[in-house]
Amino acid sequence: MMIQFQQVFKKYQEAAALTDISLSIASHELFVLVGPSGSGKTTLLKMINRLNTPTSGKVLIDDLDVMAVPDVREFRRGIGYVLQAGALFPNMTVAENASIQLAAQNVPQDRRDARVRELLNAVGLASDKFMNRMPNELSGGEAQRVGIVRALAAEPNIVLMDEPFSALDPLSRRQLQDLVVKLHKQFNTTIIFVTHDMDEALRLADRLAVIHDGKLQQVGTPDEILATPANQFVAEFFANAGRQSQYVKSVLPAGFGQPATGSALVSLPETAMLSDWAALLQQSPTATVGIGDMQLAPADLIAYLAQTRGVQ
Amino acid sequence: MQDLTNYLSKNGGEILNALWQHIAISVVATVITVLIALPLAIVLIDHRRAGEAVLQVASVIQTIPSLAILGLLIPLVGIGTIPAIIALVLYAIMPVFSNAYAGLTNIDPLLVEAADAFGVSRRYKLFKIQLPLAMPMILTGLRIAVVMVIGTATLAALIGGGGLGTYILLGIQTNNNSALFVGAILAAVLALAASALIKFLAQTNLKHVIVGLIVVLAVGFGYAGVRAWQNAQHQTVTIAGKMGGEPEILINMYKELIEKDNARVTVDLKPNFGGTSFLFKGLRSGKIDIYPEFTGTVLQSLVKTNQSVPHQPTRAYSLAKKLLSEQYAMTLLTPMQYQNGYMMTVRAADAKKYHLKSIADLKQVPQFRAAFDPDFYQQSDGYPGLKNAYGLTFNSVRTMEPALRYEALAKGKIDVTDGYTTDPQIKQYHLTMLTDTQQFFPPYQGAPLMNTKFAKAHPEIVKSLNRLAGKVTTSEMQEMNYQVTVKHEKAATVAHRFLVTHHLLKD
Ligand SMILES: Nc1ncnc2c1ncn2[C@@H]1O[C@H](COP(=O)(O)OP(=O)(O)OP(=O)(O)O)[C@@H](O)[C@H]1O
Ligand SMILES: [Mg+2]
Repeated sequence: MMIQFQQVFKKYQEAAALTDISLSIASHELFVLVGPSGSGKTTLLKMINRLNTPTSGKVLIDDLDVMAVPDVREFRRGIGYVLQAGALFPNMTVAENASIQLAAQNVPQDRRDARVRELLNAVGLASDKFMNRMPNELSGGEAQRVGIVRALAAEPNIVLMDEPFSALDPLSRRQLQDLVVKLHKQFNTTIIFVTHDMDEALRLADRLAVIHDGKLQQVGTPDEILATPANQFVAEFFANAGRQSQYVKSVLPAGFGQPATGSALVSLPETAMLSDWAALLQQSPTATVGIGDMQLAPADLIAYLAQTRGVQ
Repeated sequence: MQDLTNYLSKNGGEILNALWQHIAISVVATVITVLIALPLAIVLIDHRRAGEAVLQVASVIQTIPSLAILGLLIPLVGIGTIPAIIALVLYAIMPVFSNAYAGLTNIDPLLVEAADAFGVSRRYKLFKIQLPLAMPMILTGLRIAVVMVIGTATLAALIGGGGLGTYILLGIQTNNNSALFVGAILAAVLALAASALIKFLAQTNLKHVIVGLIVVLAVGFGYAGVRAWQNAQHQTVTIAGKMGGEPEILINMYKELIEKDNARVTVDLKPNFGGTSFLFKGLRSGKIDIYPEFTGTVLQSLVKTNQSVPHQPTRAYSLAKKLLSEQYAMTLLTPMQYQNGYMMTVRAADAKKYHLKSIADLKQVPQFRAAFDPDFYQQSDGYPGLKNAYGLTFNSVRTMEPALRYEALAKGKIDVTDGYTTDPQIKQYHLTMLTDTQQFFPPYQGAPLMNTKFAKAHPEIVKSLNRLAGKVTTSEMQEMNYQVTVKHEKAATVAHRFLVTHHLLKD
């Protein structure tokens, strides 16, 4: 399911929440929308299942304008949604919560139960134990796992997740992030994941979009964005990501390297890591590497590591 | 306590009946309220401004005193159970609506959004998400409303709606603490029980509550249907009476006479139905068929005339009958013998000591301390006129609550007071009535009043009622009132005993 935003604008009263967003999300991608609080991530996400409509511009799913779907409820039944802090219905059991979209699609009860059991087990909740629990009998992490089961139950092609783990402790958050990656591989759905946490974004994303003040800053893989931040904002947003100083490209701004002369260069990609460079030097200890239009000598690596070790 | 158990054992059946009636009125009013308020709240979930407006209107209605609402409704829908239920519904809408609306509009927006995002149907969202989440608030509103309805329903008795209020009213009117106690306690217990029941229902699930409600409604309507069917087999005549024991005795006599003579007629009695104007309006609108009225009341407050009220009883009756027929197409049958008019009374011992027989004799005792009913003290046909007619003067004259003046007289706090000729206290406190030799007081003779149309359609009923014409002396009526209001015997028993001993009934 390919999702496209075409010149999307959103205004609340006179305040612009989104400005000229154009963006393509490929089928089966785990796509992360990241940005600080109030940047417009939720606004953008909700346009996919029409909880929100653009002031101008279009949102297309497989080339179909979402504003043109004939039955919006029917349409929404095919899209999974994981909300912050679970948002389970407190008056329903875990099983009832998880099968809500199946119920809306009139799937028979026995098939609903079978599907929910399967998924509960897949997210690490023993189905026998959890099926008939009420939401207030779950921990935050368990509730969020049920939230994920609920989103996946109807075998949606698209799953939307809006900061689902922001209220969890670091350990559960890490476990659930791994779970999302695992489930994404297993079910092969398109997932759009919203977060304001850059580490989470980097850990999960196939590709990610950085958004700030309602404007798209950069779209790319984590490596691309870390290695070549498009602007000051993106660079600063990921400044503490840690992984950043591990890129060959980050050696250049530290004052190393010379303009490339063209002799005996081994070209490295923009997103090459220091470890890639070291591995190369292990093979050919005197190789000069080229990155962009600069070149780096083996001594540069040693000097850079010596320097960054001190600051890290 | 002894009185209370006596009263309960004598009137058990009727009290139970009133209790059922009270429950029926309350249940119907509550169900109607919920059927109005809940859908309204649901429809207005997404129209907050309209919701606020409804809330405002409902709270304004609630500030109107219930008596005023009843008063406003009478010209529109008459008297009886229906206006009582309408008033109760108007009252109860506010708590039910405001709580349901608050409950429905304050659901965590994240949950509402989740429901929308999953594409559930409107019905599913309402019944499985919004209503269950708002249910605690809805039930809170319902509980407030039910307690209020059960309490306010006691006022239904004022306009002939029946229920436990009848006993409270009766208790106040006839100074019968047992009746008052029974009415008030049962109403309070009923309110607590209903509140507890709703609390209990709140813990069971929604489906059971709904099923339960449907069963209750089905049983209720089934019962009403059977009753209606039974009524259709028979002809029912409705006879009402004013507040107090005496009218109740009279209408019980009417009932027994009519039913003995006419096997196919059932008489539906509405004792303590209200004041004169309630009953007169009820008669005009056909809500009731017959009620006992007094000649003096007809001439002074019901018909329009510029003649002064004749002081001779038969002339008063002829005039009342003629004017009623001309102005309202009503028929006043021949009255009974007794007079229920104003009179003056003193202690029997004083009467003997000072040789007091008539009102004129009071001129001999200017040292007497007099106390009068406030109305009597002011009206021209009361003390001011009497004073002129007989040339009376007293050492002291003051006003006193009607309920207190007999006791004050008996205890020697005062020496002379006014009253009604059939008041049972005359017997109770051994008092002597003074004769009105000048016939100053207008004559008050009781007779059945009905629409002429009804009289023409039911000559057999008129015939039955006419057997009382010229019967029942003042002292007999006084005695019967004594048995009912002082001895707390049932009006039906006293009426029956009178009819049998006077050979007006065969057995
Ligand atoms: N219904 C609304 N009415 C008016 N303004 C709104 C509305 N919803 C969002 N906004 C504004 O739009 C902007 C973007 O909001 P949005 O919820 O998309 O931010 P976000 O990136 O999801 O933030 P967070 O990480 O805090 O959830 C904010 O400035 C917000 O105040
Ligand atoms: Mg958000």
